[in-house]
Amino acid sequence: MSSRLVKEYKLIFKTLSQDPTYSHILSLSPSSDENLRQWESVISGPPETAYYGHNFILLFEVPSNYPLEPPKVQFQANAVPHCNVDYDSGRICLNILEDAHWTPAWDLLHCVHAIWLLLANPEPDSPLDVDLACLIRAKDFSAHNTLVAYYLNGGSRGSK
Amino acid sequence: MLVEFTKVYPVFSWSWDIPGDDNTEKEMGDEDLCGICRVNYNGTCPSCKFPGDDCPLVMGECNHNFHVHCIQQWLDTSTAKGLCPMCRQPFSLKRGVAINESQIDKLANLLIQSQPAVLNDDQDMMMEQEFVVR
Repeated sequence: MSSRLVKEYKLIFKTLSQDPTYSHILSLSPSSDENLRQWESVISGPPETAYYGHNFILLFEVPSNYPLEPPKVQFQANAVPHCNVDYDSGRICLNILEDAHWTPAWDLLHCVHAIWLLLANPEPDSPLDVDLACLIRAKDFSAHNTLVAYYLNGGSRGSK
Repeated sequence: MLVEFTKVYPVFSWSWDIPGDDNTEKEMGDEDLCGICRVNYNGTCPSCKFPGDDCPLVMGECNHNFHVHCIQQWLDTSTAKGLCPMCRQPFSLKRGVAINESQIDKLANLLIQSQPAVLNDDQDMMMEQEFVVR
């Protein structure tokens, strides 16, 4: 179904250049001209969050039977401190990206937008980063935001 | 003046006979595209070469339309759970819709495997599938 990817590519190009709703998506396109199955996206950190002022890279691997199966998407490794992201690998925990919740009605642009919303709306009940999730559950948002900012500005996460 | 026709080139166009297509107001950007492959209803699914009878369109009870090959592939996945990709209601073909008639048995069989509850038992309609020349 790669013809659908071509259609999406054209629509994404048009949407990103015309629709201000998606101004937080700085880019979304195939990583190279040769391979339409690997995509890359850059999103800006949502305003009024600790992520604001930073940009984040998303890496997509689109399976051959897309859109029947969801795209595999993750953040660049070691770049995103977030309670639903595994910092070391960049893996994202978001239900619409799972086989059980995916529907072909969604597309790559939806995925990027959903991940951007996840940045602003962490879900501490299904955490991949327990420390950050605990701070949110304890409603200690200033500690949470300080810790996120510390990592984003190159702070060390200690040795594993 | 005498006009003499030397050649005639008849041109026909067709489209699937989708009930309610004329009066429903379309939202902006909501074109007649299959929700799975994003190809126009009157085009083919990605696995077919020729539009028309070889690659029929079907209409769900929920009024969502798909190329039959697309929706079959989706319902065939274990993750589909027999649900419509657009609205997540159990997918079944709308009764009394001409374009659905030839597909009802085939899709019912598929749905038996994925979701027994959706099975309808009045499978007596076997009309020739038709599309309308406008």
